Parts: sequence; C-alpha cells; structure tokens
Amino acid sequence: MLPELDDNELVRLFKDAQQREKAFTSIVKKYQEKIYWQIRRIVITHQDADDVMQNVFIKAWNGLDNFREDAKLYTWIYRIAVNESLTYLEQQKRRSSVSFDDVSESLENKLQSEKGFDENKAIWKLQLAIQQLPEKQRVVFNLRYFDEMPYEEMGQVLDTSVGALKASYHHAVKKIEEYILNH
Amino acid sequence: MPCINNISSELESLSQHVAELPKNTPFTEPKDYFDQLPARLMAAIHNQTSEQELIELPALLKALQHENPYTLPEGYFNDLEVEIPRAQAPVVGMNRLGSWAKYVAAACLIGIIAAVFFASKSENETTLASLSKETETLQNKVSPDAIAMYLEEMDDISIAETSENEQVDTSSTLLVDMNSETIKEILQEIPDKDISLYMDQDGLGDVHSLN
Repeated sequence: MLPELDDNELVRLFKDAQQREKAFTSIVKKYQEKIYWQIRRIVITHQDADDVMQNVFIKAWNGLDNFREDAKLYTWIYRIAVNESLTYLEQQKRRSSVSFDDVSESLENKLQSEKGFDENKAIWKLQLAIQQLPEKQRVVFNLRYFDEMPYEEMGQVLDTSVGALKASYHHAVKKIEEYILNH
Repeated sequence: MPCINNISSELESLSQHVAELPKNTPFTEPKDYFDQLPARLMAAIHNQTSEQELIELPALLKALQHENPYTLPEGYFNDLEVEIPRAQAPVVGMNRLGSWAKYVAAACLIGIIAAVFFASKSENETTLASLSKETETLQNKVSPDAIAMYLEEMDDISIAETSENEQVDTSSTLLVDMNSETIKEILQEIPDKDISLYMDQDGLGDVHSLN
C-alpha cells in the first residue's frame, strides 16, 4: 500500500499504468467503510451491500481515467454509490414486481430479518422510521445524520440545490420524530 | 469542528427527540470483510477486464482481415498474358426482337377476338331468319278454325283428366270457364312458332287436313 496520499495524488498515480492497481487499492481502503455503510443503510442487507460495493468500485475503476481533477474524489465515489444503491433497489423492485409503495415495506421486512433486531430499542426504531421516508429524503437524512455531510458536498453528490436539500432534511426529521413518538 | 456543531444544533432545532437518538448504526458486517474487500474487488476488476477483452476480440479479428498472408511469384502480373480468341460469334441482343413482337402478338389477339364475335353474330341472324320464314309458312297453312277446334278437343281431354284425378284443386276453374272467344283471344297472344312447335311434338302437324 502507498503511504497516506491525498485524493489528487492517488488519481494521478492511477493514470500511471505501473502504479494503477496500488493507487486504486489505496482509494478502496481509504473510502470502503464510509461507502459500505452508506450503501448498507439504503439496501439494508450485507449481501445486497456487497453486490453494490463491487458495482461501485468497478465503475470507479472504469471511470477514473476520465475523472476531472477539479472535482472531489470523495463526492464522486459517494455519487456513484448512491446511484448504484438506488438502481439496485429499482432492479429488485422490477424483478419482484412490487409497487412503489411496497418498497418501504420490503425494506422494513429486511430490517426485521437483521441479526439482533429489536423494535423496542431506539437504534432499531430509528432505522424503521428511516425506511418510511421517500427515497430522496432517506438518502439526504442518511448523508446528513450519519455522515454529517455539509449541504454543499451533498449538492454535488445528489446534483440538487442546497435549499432543496435543507427542505428535504427538515421534512425527513419531522417525519422521523412523528414515527418515534407514535411507536 | 464548527461544521459538525452546526449539524448538531440544526438537528436540535428541528427535533429534540431525534437529536437524542443514538447515531451509530445497528448493522454488523462479516468478520474481516473490510480486510478482504480490496483484494476481492481487484479480482472482480481483473475478471471484468478479461470479459471486456473477449468482447473486444471480434474487433481485433476484424482489423486482421485487411492483412493478406499470401504471396505471388515475382513479376507475375508483368508476365501475365491473356489470349483472346480471334473469331467470336456475333452477339444478338434478345431485346431487339421483343420490341416489335409484343405489338404483333397484341394485334393477332384482337383479330381473333373480332373474327369470333362476327362469326357468332351472323350465325344467330341466319337462324332467326329461317325461323320467321317457317312460322310464316305455317300461318298460311293452318286456319284459325282448325286451331280453335284443336283447343276445344284439348279442353275436353283436360276436363276428363281433372275429374279422374281427385287430388286436383277444384277451385281452379280456369279451363272450365273458358269459351271459344276467350280461347281465340289467348291464341292470338300465343306466338305462331310456339303453336307449330307444340303441334309437331303431339303429331298434329297435318292438322290442315281437317279443314
């Protein structure tokens, strides 16, 4: 593994055929946990998260040659991860021919099948509340609440204005509060 | 970190209940998952690259098609002589015949149709002329009284047959109510040709001898 390098240096090394694999391995090690947990909160099960992780990093490998150095590697990979997670859920929905309303129910069932699930514990209750949210609000809440991502960076990941993201987060928090108080 | 403080204070301002919830996730990953992940990802990428090469192989073969591996003896094309035979059979174009032959064929066809039409028309005219002549001759030979007598005889026969046959509808009085004047009127309406034909069929051709 290469010593601690910043993202721009890693991208530059990736474009050198001799250093390509080493540079990419360093990028994976640097971001794998953050990306994994972001994906896992969206798709819920480890098996699904692992599938999406492979898709994300294969796409990153294929796209890094064309990566613009003025962009942030971290937000670029996050963007791929969010898109791949939502695409994965969409494909699952099409395969099982469930309606849009049934998606949250399907995710709730997956959550209840998780090891150690206890609906009386606040930590699981919060996850149940998140699954009730619309897709976009769920992603915004996860990025803000768990990853503490600034709105400006979130705007680059989701290609949305800061104002719209603030509104989404506000609605998400209110809905979660309502769920927690009623369950 | 001011940013995180901002995020925390923002959440507290939105909902105290949510702000008090634990921030860690309840999910767990398999043991050593993150240690093995980079190697697994690189294996998947190499596998994907091999598949990509298989996809690109036809393109490589396509490029190779332009290269010719065969060689020729030196100066082959310079020494190449093609022997052309002196006397050649004249070439006759098939289309020259076709240009006028189709008009001849069309004219012949029209001629045949016209000949058949006129032949059948003259034959009909001859038949009609001979028939009208024959009718005229009969009309001169048979007197109206002989015809009336014949019809009265026929009425008698019909009445006799009707009385024998009980199945016949008695309401039919057509033949019974006829007198000789009515019969004459009817006879005038019947063409002479039909009468003569009828008489020939029933062996009454020599009816004129009754007069």
